Amino acid sequence: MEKGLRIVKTITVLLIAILISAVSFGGVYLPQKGIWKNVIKDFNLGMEFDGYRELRYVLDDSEEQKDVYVDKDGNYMGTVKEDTSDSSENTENAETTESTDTQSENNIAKEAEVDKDYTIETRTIRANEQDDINIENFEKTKKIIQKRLETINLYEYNIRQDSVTGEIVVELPDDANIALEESLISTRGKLEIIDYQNGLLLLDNSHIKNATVLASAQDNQYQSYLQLQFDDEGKEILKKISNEYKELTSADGTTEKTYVSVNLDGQTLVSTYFAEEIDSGILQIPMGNATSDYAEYVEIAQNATRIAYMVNNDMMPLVYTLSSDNFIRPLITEEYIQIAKIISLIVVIAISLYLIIKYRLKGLYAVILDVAYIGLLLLIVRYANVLITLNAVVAFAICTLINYIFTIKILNKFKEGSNDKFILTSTLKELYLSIIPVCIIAVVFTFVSSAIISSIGMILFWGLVVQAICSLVVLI
Amino acid sequence: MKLSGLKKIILLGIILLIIAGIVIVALKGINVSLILQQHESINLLIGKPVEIKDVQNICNEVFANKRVIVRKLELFGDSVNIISESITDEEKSNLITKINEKYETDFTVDDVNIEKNSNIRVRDLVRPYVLPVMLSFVLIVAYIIIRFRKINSLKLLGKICVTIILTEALIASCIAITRLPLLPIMINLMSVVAIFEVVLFISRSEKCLKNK
Repeated sequence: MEKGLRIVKTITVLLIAILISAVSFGGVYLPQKGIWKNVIKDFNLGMEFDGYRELRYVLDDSEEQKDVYVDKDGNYMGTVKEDTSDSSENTENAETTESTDTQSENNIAKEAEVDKDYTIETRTIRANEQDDINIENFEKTKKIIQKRLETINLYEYNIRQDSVTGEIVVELPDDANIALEESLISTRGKLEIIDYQNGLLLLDNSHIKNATVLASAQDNQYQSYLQLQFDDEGKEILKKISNEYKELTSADGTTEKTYVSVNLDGQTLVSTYFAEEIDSGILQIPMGNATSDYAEYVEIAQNATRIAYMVNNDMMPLVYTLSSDNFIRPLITEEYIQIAKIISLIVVIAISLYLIIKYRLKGLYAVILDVAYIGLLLLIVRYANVLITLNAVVAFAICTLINYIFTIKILNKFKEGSNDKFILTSTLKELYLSIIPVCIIAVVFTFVSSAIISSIGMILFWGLVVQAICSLVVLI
Repeated sequence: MKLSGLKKIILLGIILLIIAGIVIVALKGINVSLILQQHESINLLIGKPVEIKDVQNICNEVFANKRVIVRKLELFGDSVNIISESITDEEKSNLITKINEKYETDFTVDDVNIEKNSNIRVRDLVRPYVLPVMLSFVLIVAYIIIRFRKINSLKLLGKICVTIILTEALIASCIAITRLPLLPIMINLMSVVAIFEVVLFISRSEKCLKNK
């Protein structure tokens, strides 16, 4: 009876192992729009296997003659606005978001608004001043780019910088994040609150203590806010401007609004007026319009998070522009991958033959389980979305090697006639104690934010989990 | 610690190899992969299907003894990216002539730009690894000290460290002597060797612990 059960168990295990191997190596084909397609998820390939985008950035050498406001000491205080009739800009009430008025109706002549403490001068505004172009600023810019990229890219990038010209070449994976990454590199991160009517600078990054992103959800409408917290001086300025830029009702009952614009690198994020005095030093800026489309909301919130991140961190000291963008195919071509597959197959066949010849039927059983181990690990790697880099391939090789060591040790015990579960358990315990360092590395590396490192950890981790499952199969 | 005759010879051989590696690195420097080091590149939009091997052959003729890598550019397989340590105007001109002959294109010297790509700093490559490697190292050392406290764990740690240093130095020397281009994957493979050495030592120590 017991022997019969053991045979049934063995056959079941073998069938499951063969099924896993077939699914992993052969795929599962289902008809999709009349075409039979493999529905097994593809590997998430890294730059080494999938190629990369080579973005070349050069220092922006543009210059423009502009009328600017300057204070008594000659400091820049904003650019005189040339055209105030643009009604397409997103205008929102900072406090209530209820405003639907267009600012074009209520514009006030710019000249009238200019404080007498300031004068207007015509200056040549350069994207990068000659004094700023130095090696310290090159280094600083590179570090800021690295920090920004690491918030979304998970460290899979390369950066090259010419220390003479300052030219930067960034190599990035060609994925859905590429547009965002491009903007992170070319955005300086200069946030300004200006007088919408005349362009006079009211507040900038230097007074911002902290920026965060808030969200609200009401009646199935999602809205993101960029919350700016100002320092003491900024708090006073904000209080003052919140009293100035609001809806005013004149004696004859007509209302007029004066607006402020929030600009990032000269691009207007929002134009708004204040409903009440802000004495808390905290300004909440609605980002986009409230939406019921959650995906759209997430996109807006991510954009707001990116702005908050840039405001919280250093502003780039130099402005770069994209000079070329090329997709470079990987050095490891399909041809090399085929050769690697053939070599791996030869190694697996050689080990399998060795196991079958030396351990006969038990060897064959082990070979089927080992192939299923590789197959199952490959399936997990696909569905766990592990990034396949050369590091990950090395980690995979380690797992396979450990698996074969376990197999040979257990088969040796069987050959010695130690079918006793106690002996097998103690052998497995010994083996697991030996690989504790690998387990430590697996756990530590898995929780690292860098995808190129966590891929090592994840493969080791899943390799060890599948290994434990295989061990249990042997023991049961 | 007394060493047998054979072990002495092996140890002497290892030390000599390590010294040879150090001398070569001191004289010639580390042979960093062309992809990582500063290089110059040319992009050619040929406009018809290109075989990498053919362009590689042309480049080998033009650039003679220089290292050259040819990769495809963009998705259509009709453009190539050629990188070399340096590209002179004469080499550029020769390359264009040969490419025009082979693919019946009409590139001129003025059409093609030589782009300079600076090196990728090793510290940028290493930076993400520092924290996890340090943390893993501390945890493994702590584990060894606690687990093998009954069989002189400090001595075991010393042995592991010496063995790892010797083998890693030996591998590094072999790479330096053979002038293999240094790639991050080699550092990973060296790490694998180190991990397996630790596993081997722990495995042996487990047996010692069991026998005690």
